[in-house]
Amino acid sequence: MTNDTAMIIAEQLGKTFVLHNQGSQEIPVFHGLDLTVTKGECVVLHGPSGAGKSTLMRALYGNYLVNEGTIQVNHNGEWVDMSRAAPQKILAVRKSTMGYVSQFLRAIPRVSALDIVSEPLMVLGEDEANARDRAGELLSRLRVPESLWSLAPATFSGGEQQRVNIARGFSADFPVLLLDEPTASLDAKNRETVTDMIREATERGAAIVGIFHDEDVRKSVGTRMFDIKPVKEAA
Amino acid sequence: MSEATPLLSVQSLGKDYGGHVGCTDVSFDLWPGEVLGIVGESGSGKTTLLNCLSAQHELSRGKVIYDTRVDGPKSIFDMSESERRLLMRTDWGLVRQNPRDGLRLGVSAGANVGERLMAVGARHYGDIRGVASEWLEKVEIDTNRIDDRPTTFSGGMQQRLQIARNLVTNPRLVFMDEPTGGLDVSVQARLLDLLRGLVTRLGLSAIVVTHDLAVARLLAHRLMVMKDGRVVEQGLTDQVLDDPQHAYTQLLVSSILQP
Repeated sequence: MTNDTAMIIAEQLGKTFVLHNQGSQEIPVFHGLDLTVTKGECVVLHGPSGAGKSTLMRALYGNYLVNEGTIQVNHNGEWVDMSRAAPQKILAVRKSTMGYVSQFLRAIPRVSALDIVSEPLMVLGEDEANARDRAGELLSRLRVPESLWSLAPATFSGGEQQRVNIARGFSADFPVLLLDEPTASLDAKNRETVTDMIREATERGAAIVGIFHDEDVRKSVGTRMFDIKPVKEAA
Repeated sequence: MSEATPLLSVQSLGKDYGGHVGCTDVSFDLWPGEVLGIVGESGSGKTTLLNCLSAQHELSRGKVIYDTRVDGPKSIFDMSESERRLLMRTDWGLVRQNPRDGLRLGVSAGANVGERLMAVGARHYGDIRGVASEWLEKVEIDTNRIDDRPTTFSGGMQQRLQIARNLVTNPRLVFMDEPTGGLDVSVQARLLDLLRGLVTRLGLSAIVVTHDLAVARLLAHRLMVMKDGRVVEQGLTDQVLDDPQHAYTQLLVSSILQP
């Protein structure tokens, strides 16, 4: 596959939240949105707070439902529409094609940092020792002290949790990566490491969509900006 | 995965109690390795549904078709009583909310696990005891307790014992009714972690009824939300919980207290 191979083709997306328990209030987020992301591209979503950047990201991941349009994702050469595929299909896409780094880690009681990071590899059938080695490498690179690896991250600092989250997102070399403010709670050194990791992922051919508040990060990892304009009239 | 035969196929299922509707118009397919969560408040019909699916209640309407190991897909209510019993003892597991309903309290922990093995033909005492003790270890019960009766166990231990008793025959489908219901939060976390690990490692299919959305998020791939005996919304677990479409699901999700 060449580097202009499309990995995500979203067409005519529309999303409106309807709050049934608050007088059926309708909150339109976006409408008629088109976005194509190819291999080796890092598309930075850009727009004011509340414009729908995270909503778009979550829709691409199948976490939010769109009301209009289609989201085709290249899943091992097969196109899967994330806006209407069956749950088990979406889970299959998430397992081997699409990784997602959210703003916050959803820590599970009793599961260690090392297990959290190696899990994506384990479910792909990687042998346990290799998966743990890879997880250890990533945690070291992101400066998570080895003394913490065997602990559940619920008690970690915000920055440490975020780095565990990033390590997990990068453990399996996903062909598509969605990054929702991965550098938000990091210090300068770690931010630089994450920036390097994103660039390396782009170079190996990953298709990346990201939200980054930090201007420097945006400039150094982004290959293209994508503007989202708020549709709300009454704000 | 989706091209294969569903393990369980439910078609327009309904159950009435006299003039009252327990649940109605329920249809879904459960795929091998899939964990389905059924959520809803008390009285929504979720336990009635589970009891119908697991052949404990007769249906008023519809069909439940199970993909048996030997004969392929078969309607569970068209089977003979003995065939159905064998299915329940071997291929299925049923974890009840109250472990005392799912355990035999008069016999030892080891016997509780071993009994299910004997039901499928195991006869060698040493082997049975060996497997029982392996399973106690898997569910984190000290093997020194193998000869103790479950009445001497804590609630959390009893629930873990019930899980061992159910999983020892390598079932393909496990039904769970509020598996973490009566337990302390710390005990709940341990049990959830254990269940999650077992389900993933053994590739089990499961149907889990719970009113606890956090439990559903952790265990289930897919969710069905029930209200007044009907399924009002279903889909991928995180999608249903993070972007609920139905008024009732929105109410449920927004009613969770954050600690």
